[in-house]
Amino acid sequence: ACGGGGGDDSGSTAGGDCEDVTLRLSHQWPEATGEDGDFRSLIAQKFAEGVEEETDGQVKVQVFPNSTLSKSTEQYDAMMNGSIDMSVFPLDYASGRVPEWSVTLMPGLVRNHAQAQSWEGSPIGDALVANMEENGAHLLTWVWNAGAIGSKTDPIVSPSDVEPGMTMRAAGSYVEFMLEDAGAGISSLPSNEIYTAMQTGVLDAAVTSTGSFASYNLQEQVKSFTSPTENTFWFMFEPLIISTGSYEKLCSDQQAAVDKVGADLQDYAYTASEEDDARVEKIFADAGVEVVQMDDAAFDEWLELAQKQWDAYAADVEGGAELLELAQEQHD
Amino acid sequence: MSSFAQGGIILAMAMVLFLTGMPIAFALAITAILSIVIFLGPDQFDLFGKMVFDSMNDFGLLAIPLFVLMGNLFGGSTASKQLFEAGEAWLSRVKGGLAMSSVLASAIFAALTGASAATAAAIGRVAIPEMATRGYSSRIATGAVAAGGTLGILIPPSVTLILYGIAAEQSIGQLFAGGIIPGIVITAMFCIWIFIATRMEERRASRPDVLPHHGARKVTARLYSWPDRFVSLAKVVPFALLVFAVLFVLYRGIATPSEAAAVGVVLVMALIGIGYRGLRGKDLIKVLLETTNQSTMILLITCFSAVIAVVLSYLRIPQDLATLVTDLDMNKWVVMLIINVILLVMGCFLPPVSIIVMVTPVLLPVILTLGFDPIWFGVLMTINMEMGLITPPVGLNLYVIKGIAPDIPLKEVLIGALPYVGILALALVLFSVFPEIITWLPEKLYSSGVATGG
Amino acid sequence: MKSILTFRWANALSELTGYLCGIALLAATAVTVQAVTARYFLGAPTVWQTELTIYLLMFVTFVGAAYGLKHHAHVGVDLVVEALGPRPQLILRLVTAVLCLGVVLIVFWTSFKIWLEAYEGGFTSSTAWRAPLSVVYTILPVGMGAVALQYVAMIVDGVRGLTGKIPMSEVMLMGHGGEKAVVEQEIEQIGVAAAAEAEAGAEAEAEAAAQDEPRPTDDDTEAGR
Ligand code: NA
Ligand code: NA
Repeated sequence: ACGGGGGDDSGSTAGGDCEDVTLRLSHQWPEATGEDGDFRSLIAQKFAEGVEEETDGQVKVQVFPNSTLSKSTEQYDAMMNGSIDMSVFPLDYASGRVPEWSVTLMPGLVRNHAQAQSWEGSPIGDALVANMEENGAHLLTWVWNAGAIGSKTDPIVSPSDVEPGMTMRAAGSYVEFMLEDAGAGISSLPSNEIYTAMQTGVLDAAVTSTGSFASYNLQEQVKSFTSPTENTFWFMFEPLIISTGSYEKLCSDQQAAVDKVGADLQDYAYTASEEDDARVEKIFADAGVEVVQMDDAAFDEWLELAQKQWDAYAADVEGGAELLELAQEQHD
Repeated sequence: MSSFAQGGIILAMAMVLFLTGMPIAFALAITAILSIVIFLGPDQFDLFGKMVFDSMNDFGLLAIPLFVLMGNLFGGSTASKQLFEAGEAWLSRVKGGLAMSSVLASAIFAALTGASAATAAAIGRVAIPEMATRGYSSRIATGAVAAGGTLGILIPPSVTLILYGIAAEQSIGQLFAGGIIPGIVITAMFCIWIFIATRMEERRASRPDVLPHHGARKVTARLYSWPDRFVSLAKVVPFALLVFAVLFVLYRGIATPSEAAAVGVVLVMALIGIGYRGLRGKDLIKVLLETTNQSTMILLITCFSAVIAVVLSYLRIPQDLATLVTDLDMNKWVVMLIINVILLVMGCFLPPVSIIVMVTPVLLPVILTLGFDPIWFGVLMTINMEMGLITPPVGLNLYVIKGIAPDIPLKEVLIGALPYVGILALALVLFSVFPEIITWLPEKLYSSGVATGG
Repeated sequence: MKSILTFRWANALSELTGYLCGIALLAATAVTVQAVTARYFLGAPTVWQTELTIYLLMFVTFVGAAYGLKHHAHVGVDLVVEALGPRPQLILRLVTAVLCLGVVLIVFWTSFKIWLEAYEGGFTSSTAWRAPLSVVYTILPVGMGAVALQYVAMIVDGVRGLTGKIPMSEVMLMGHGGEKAVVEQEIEQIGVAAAAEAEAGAEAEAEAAAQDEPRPTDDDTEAGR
């Protein structure tokens, strides 16, 4: 059928008659073939299958992987104006629209998976969910991703390992500012240039999600890899979301089904993310890269630098101080 | 409606609009907005502006205006004259040496500009009148210039390779590297053809019953002393250094392709400013305005095409096409042949830029499904586009020749250029049989492929 | 009053956009080279350069489009159109110009709404630079606005041609747009360079002849025209 999609205004309102709906789910992760693919891509696929089954085919989810339908950073906009309905979306990408969301990629605020997973159902988690709802994003599954540091030289474990003049690229502006404070030069290269930039020496080191390290084959370029198994200052929240506009157009049974399938995927999302770190660590170790961990002492050194960014965030962003406070409470 | 029927409707809309003669960019824009309204629904109408804006939000595209600027600065200097003269000084005793000089000069000029018409115009302005006065037939003269000009998009930097790299998410550095050896091989093939064609003409001319071609007289060779030759060579050294400087910046990790382009612009300005009697304000303004014209033309086509690509992707046409090709279970080389024939037909009517940006997003899944190397295919597609530049009825380089030498009948230009279409086709076959000619250098420079996505 | 109605002033506006784009091109070059130098030689951060150069490039694309339109830089397939006689050709070109004006106005309108949204919401880009999108998002509506005005000027001019108010040879829409015009411009530009070169050569000789005399000032000979 042509047309269709979540943009259909007629009929199906909450509580009313349930009509057939097709939801468009766009994400930036590589298309997964089989169980070994990118776990964020698999979450999208599993969700699509689950919802179709749960609603007996009434709700269909069309998945558009690899940014085929919308640029990665533009997916929030696309959800807001209705061109897509859903995404597995790094909230920080929309921090230009919703500055509060920088809290989901704040350096040092989340140090390991246990801490990340504790957000769900906690005061910070509830505040974040409420804020997302206010800004048109209905959360279905919590997805967290740990980040690693890859370097062409010696391992970067503590801030003092950042040699002056070293050029780094990081995801997240507050992370970039922190690295700058540590003495790095920051390059804002597009992510698909990382591999070549490292190869040609434009970049000396990069901070990004473990999954991206593997999908960009950076094990072929880096000499050392600081794995997030013990600690990491880089944790990104990239939940499975549906726009509140599209959500409200579903009838109540469909809403319940969508919520249920999202919740059912929760355990998978947490475990897969942890397993992914182990998988990537193995890829890098097997490739002969020096794999190291960040111990608590080193993490505390980063924390000192990170707190400067927290202060900046609290000062710059309305409501930011409250969110930070709640997040810190969670971690004491 | 099947996705192919929908794709067919979109294609038909575009074709009809093209034929009305309106700018291709706006024909694509109308196609895009109609496709959105018909296939995505009228409520998606508001997305249009956002899609147009987002499609330009790419650092890689910046390389295009900057490489065009570099070429235009270079084209406005005395470089083309000196390149041609140096070639002539060394090849004056060879049969067809002057025509070979224009091909060689084009090849070097190509290494400093991203476009083909610029190459043909710069070299042709110097070479065609000189060849005419020295007794070359107009077929040999115009053919060499038209064909030499096509090297502009094969030998890096190249606007079409940049556009392909962005659409196919391939490393532009690798694509550039992939164009170098094929560029040299094709340059050599062109020179061999010139040698053969010149001999053939001589034989014909020696038969009393045959009239010579338009403009053909007894070819006179100018004689050069060895010191003359080295002086002429010395004059092109700065340009050669410039080529190496840009390549060095690119492959030694100083900069990305976009940044290398900016460095190149500054180096050309410095070179012209210091070595070649200054860069005047009013000339610079002309070059900048001309660059604006070419950039807005290329990039407007690119951005409206990108919107259509989003619609096609939404309709899953590229994916379905890839599935179809897999299901048909045809020999992959048969598919490659069909693709090349389609590209050649499109090349007859449309300029390379519009073909690359329209076709790449649709064909890429097919190429990857069949297991072809995307870098190899990008270079192959560019060579196919080179043919389109010299085939009637719409061939950019043919217009260039007409502009430079209005008194030469179009028929002579066409006949002169036609053999080069065959040579380029031969090159396509050669590089299909020996793909290493394309892939060796990128693999050597970059130890392994760059992953996409993620 | 009459000059306002003929939209001749839109031509001047389009010329202006071209010059602004020239500046944007130079700025993009300078900013990019600065970034390379800063990063490679000084190890300094280059947070804003990439983003700024992208915006400058967008400026050249969208705002330069009006200049390009006036100078027939936007390639078209003229095959069928040029087979027609002058009058039918002009009528067809008028029709297509109206269609183009329509689509340009659509882009203008939808991009204006995006700008308004960004302006009211105080949106910034999500990068470390936090560029205000209320500034960035003016590029597209401003560019399309200028293109629309240029099209109106060309349509008014074309109708005047059709009604015999101005000779067919002066009608902008009949300026043999497309590839050939681009190439002709290119050749003209090269011709200018050649003339300048010859002139420079002559100057050099003059200088050599009278080395101590003050150098003559540049005159404004528009060679090649
Ligand atoms: Na080139
Ligand atoms: Na052609």
